[in-house]
Amino acid sequence: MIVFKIDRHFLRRVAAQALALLFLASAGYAGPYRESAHGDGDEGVHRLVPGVSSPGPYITGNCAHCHEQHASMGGQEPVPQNGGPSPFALFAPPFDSARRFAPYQMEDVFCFYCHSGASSLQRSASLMENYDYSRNFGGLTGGPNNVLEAFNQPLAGLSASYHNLYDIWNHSQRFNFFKSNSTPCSACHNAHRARQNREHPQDPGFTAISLPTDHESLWGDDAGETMAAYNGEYEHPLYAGPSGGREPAGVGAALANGSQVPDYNRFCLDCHAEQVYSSTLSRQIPRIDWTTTGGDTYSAGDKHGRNSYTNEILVQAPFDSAMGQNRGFVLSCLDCHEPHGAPNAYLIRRGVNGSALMGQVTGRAADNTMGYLCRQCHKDDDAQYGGAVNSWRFVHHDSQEAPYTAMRCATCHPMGGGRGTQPPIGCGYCHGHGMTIDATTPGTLPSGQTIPAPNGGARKTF
Amino acid sequence: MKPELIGSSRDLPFSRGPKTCNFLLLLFLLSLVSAPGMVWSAVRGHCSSCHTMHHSQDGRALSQWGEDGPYQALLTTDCAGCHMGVNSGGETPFVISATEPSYQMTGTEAGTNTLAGGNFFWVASTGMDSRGHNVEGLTAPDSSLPSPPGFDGSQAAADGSIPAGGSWPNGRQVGCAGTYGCHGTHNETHPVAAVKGGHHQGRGGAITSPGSEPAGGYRMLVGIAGYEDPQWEFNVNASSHNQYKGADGTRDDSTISSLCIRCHGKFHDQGSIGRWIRHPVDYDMANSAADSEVRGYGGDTNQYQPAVPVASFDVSRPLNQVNMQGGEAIVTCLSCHRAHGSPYDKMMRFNYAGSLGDGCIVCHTSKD
Repeated sequence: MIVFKIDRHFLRRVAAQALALLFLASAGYAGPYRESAHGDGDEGVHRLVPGVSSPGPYITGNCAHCHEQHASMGGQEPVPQNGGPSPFALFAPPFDSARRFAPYQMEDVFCFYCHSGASSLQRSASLMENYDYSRNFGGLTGGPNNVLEAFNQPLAGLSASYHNLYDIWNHSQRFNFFKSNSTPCSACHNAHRARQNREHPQDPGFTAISLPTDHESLWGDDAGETMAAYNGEYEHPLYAGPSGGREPAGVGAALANGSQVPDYNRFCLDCHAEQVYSSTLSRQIPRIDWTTTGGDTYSAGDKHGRNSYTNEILVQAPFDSAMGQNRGFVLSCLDCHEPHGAPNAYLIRRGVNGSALMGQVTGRAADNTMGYLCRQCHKDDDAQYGGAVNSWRFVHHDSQEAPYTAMRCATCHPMGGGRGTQPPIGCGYCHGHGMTIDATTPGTLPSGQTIPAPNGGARKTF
Repeated sequence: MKPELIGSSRDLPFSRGPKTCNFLLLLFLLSLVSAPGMVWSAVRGHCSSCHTMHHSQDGRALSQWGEDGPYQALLTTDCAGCHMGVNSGGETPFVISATEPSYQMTGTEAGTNTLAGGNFFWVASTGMDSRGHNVEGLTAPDSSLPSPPGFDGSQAAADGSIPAGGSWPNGRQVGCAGTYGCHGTHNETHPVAAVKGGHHQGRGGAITSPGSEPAGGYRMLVGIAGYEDPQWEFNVNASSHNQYKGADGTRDDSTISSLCIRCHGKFHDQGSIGRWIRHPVDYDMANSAADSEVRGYGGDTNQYQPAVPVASFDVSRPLNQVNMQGGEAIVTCLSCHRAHGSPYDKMMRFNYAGSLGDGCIVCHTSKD
């Protein structure tokens, strides 16, 4: 008979270790915060406090780099930012709702204390790569180097645009998780879950966003939450980086099946499926219907969404080669728009579909600068036959299914120029989210000229 | 029954018999024990285990006695003299050890030998000021904190006494008891006088009506209610532990957190901002939204977590499970901190500073 003699100290050790593991398990040893960008043990949050020794022994990623449980650091009360305790036990106020417009200061939004470049409190802030979408995923060079700079691009010119943080904060009050003291950034990002998508640009598992209606989950990291959900209708734009390939970050064309991109459409539409007000533009931004099909019927949604084109469209690569396979491309919002700020109006990216825009989109209805965006994917006269850049005569008047016959120019165009060189009509009079053109809309131009119905009677023009 | 003080009673000469016990003193003590309303005397055994009439035995002070005698109340030593040692489950709680205690991760695992308050060992070590309360006689003064952080001098105990009389002198160390201490009344400067009656009349088990005498309070804390675990949590688990008294948003001077607030009142001042501006205490997590993460405390069954304890309205017994219907899931200072000390910065129960929120996520379950 074999007798196993077990040392009681061994048993105690085993029991102790088992309990320790139990504590770790109850503490969620590898939970979402530990996998988040902020909770990264090497590159996560690590605040350096001016005038106060670095917050004690707290390791990188520790809660104390953002939260002060007693509004105190090192026994001083209260310190260190803004002279008093702040909501959510943050070391500074989450948001100054008196700040209605850019330019933003670091003190306006809690997140900017770190996401602000040279003035950042984050240790080794220069290593943070908070570039814009055009650079991170589109392969362009230059652009803003941090989030605060991205929002403050209006400093670079009147036409630049930004996602108005007061509007976001105000709109987000309707979401259950969102509090009156929440930072507007938290409408789109869960600071305890957002991951380092910059480090893994082709893996939506590292997404940084959460739906406002589902704040406690990441968005894009699960099957059904990527552009692959559009059943092949999403065509990855070209990548501008030296490697070529497609967005994001030069993924090979053969692999680009939508699964590398979070479904940004569903994400943006969490707010923009309804009309929302823009303080910056002093008007309502129309609701966006990215899902309803129906061609040129009035109830149909945008053709850049799930609704399909109804007439000949002249498109650039890579969409041209896919034309025979797809009759209904679905674009991603971020194929054209930046989420934070852009040097163009309407948050239009500075580079789209593999290259930088050749001119600035001003947002003024009277000019045709929107065409600088359109021509990144659609053929202007230059691309069609070597005509002028950002001139659109061929597609409007000379193509097989052109909407308007090239005659009676003055019906629409301002006076001036000769045949074929009439001053353009601002793109925005006919093209924009949700727009339809028929005998009654868009109606009269500021010049007093009336735009007639297109051939066929009516068209959805976006 | 023989007394258990400072390790094994075999080491003590008093265990041979009450040779020096004064008859009148014995009579006095017996009268206290038999007084109506007393549940139990906290200290049992021979008088001579703790007292000496002349601070002399056979013409000399015994080596087991303290070196600074004679002491008040005819004691043979001071607080540390009795409460220094290594816990092994005896009847004397040791709060400071000469050698490093076993704490493991949270001080609640099997094999640990610290008690509910933790241990002063670490704060007494050089350069470890933040590991506990820097108690006079046990540790050197804190090198950076001349007074209790957050002290506002407005919070009185149930007997009306206020720590430091409401004004803490710079550089004055905290004590075990008395004017500058936690135990006993703050009206008495000397710690022994401050806890007068506590060791003899002290009550055990459920203390639901602590009154205003040191002896009536939980662990001789004036006016504080609570359930005293008979082993001071030497062997702690979900069923066997202290049950701390809590409140829910209203001022209640019998809660364990109200004790801390006497010295650290500013730390949890909610103010009028409308959101937590400091981590709340005396807040019932049952008040949170139905889908709040904090309702996940203790998992699906809301089992009591000794490593991160919560308080309750009712302290008649230790709770094995926490009812999220109300009154049993109250955040306290002691949910995060050890009152005496721990191996961790800011005398945390768990390694907060060195982790990514260990301990925090027991309540903040979505932040794991």
